[in-house]
Amino acid sequence: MKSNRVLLQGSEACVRAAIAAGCRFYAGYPITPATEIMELMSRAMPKAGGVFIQMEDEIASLGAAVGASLGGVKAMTATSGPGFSLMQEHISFAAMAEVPCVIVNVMRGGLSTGLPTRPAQGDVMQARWGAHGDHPILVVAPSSTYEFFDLTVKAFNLAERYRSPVIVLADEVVAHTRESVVLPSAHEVEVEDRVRPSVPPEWYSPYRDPGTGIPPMAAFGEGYRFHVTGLMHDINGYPTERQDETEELMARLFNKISKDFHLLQWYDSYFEEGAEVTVIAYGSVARSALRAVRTAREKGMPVGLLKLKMLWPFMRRTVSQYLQSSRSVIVAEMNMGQLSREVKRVNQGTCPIHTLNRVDGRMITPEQILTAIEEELR
Amino acid sequence: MRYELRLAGSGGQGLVLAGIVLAEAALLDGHVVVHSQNYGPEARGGNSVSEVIISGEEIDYPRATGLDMLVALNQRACNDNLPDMKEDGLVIVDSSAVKKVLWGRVLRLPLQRQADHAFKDSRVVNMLALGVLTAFCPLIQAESMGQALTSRMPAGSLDHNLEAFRTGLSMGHDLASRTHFHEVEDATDV
Repeated sequence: MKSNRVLLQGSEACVRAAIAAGCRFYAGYPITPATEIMELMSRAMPKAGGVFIQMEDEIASLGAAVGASLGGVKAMTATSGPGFSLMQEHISFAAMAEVPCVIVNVMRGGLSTGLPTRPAQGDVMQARWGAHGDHPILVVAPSSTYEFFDLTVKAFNLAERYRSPVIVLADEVVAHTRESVVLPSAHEVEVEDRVRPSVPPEWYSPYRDPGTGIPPMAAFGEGYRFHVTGLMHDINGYPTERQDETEELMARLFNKISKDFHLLQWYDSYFEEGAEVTVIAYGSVARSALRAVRTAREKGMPVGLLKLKMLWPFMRRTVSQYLQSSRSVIVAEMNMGQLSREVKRVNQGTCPIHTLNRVDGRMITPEQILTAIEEELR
Repeated sequence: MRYELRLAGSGGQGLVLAGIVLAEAALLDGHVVVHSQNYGPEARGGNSVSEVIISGEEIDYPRATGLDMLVALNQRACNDNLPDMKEDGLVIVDSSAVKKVLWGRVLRLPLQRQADHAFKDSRVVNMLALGVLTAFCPLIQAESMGQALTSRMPAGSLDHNLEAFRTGLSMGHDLASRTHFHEVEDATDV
């Protein structure tokens, strides 16, 4: 029997997903551990009829991706922590100008150049708050090769649906690990495209709310003449300081995503039944956590796992339910405590929350989590 | 069933590639497999580790929890990775680079010498190691390894690498037929 199982690295799955989702522009600057994505894109883009550019740095990389997207093409870039810092300026611009784009950040160890070949989850807060100014953002976090595929496709769909930058927050383990995996074929992948204007060019206002909060987006070069700026702008895209217009724009930018919070609860729950202790994890740590929870269940311990696949907007509704049903919660992450702060924020003091952190560039092991679980149940 | 193998040496010895070939062969044999790599920030040198986990079911935790087999190509790689062995795990070392192995079930083979002298190419040490490993790994068919090599190696160097793999395989078979292991407690000096 011929199986369609393939041995695929997380980075390869990400690139295949981007192609399947319709990405036809990649601009980037190489950095460990995201270099594989760029290398593979340099081959995949020309084959798919797209464009690949190596830019002079990460600022320019995201700038080019934003430009390509304004030209009507789905665009992406990939980087790691240091490059991600450089991209913040343009993330803010993309959020303000409402330009769909996907930014993959393969998180590596340490601050600064840190531990470049090792995993971490230190950019959770940077992904949310790194860009200047109040802005909404969408951030997903894969934990396996399959999820790297699935969530990259979904990231493109979110970007198109909400006209927003979307960040895929992977880690070194997810990007570098190769696994036997069955990926959906091209026709099984659901792809969303941005809504294009249905009015003639002379009637087009690029930032007029059609009622959904998400204005139709024309591509440059198709006959629609419009202005794009990072300044506060009116419905025609021209700078404004009028109170009513700035307030309306800010409200719309936030509401277009917050109205759909109920659709953005992306998670997997394991051993939920009768769980007195819930482990909350995301990215590769969720795999250690699953091993630990399985072992704990085999020993008869009432433990469950909540794996978060969307980090921002934070899934308040989902997490609150687990905080209410559990006697205590353990948040395991490869940083000094970032997502655990959000869990504590939505907890409102009802459930004891324990953090399990590791920052030496090694994965949190199942034994570490199991020890924490045993401690909770003692 | 969970079977874990690790190849350890220094950067540039081709261990990541060897691990990928091994994982590909395991996939061809119908197993669920995970491969991971671990190396320092240096372009060459430094520690390099390539790990393969073979299982009959979904693999949650993607890192080794107890090695069934370790291939170590230098002394440091051997020392660093011995603590991760399963009690009855098998250690295969390059006899010229690894002098001291505090482990009972150990096989010493002149892999680097074979590469340098018989093949006049130090780079095939990874293929020789793969061959030896295949002779001792119950889950991997030699034919699948050949197939995996064919699909993962550049065509120009395929024959050369296949030959090295086959040499390693017969070194392994030869050794397997006449090996009796010491007790685990034995600290063995060469």
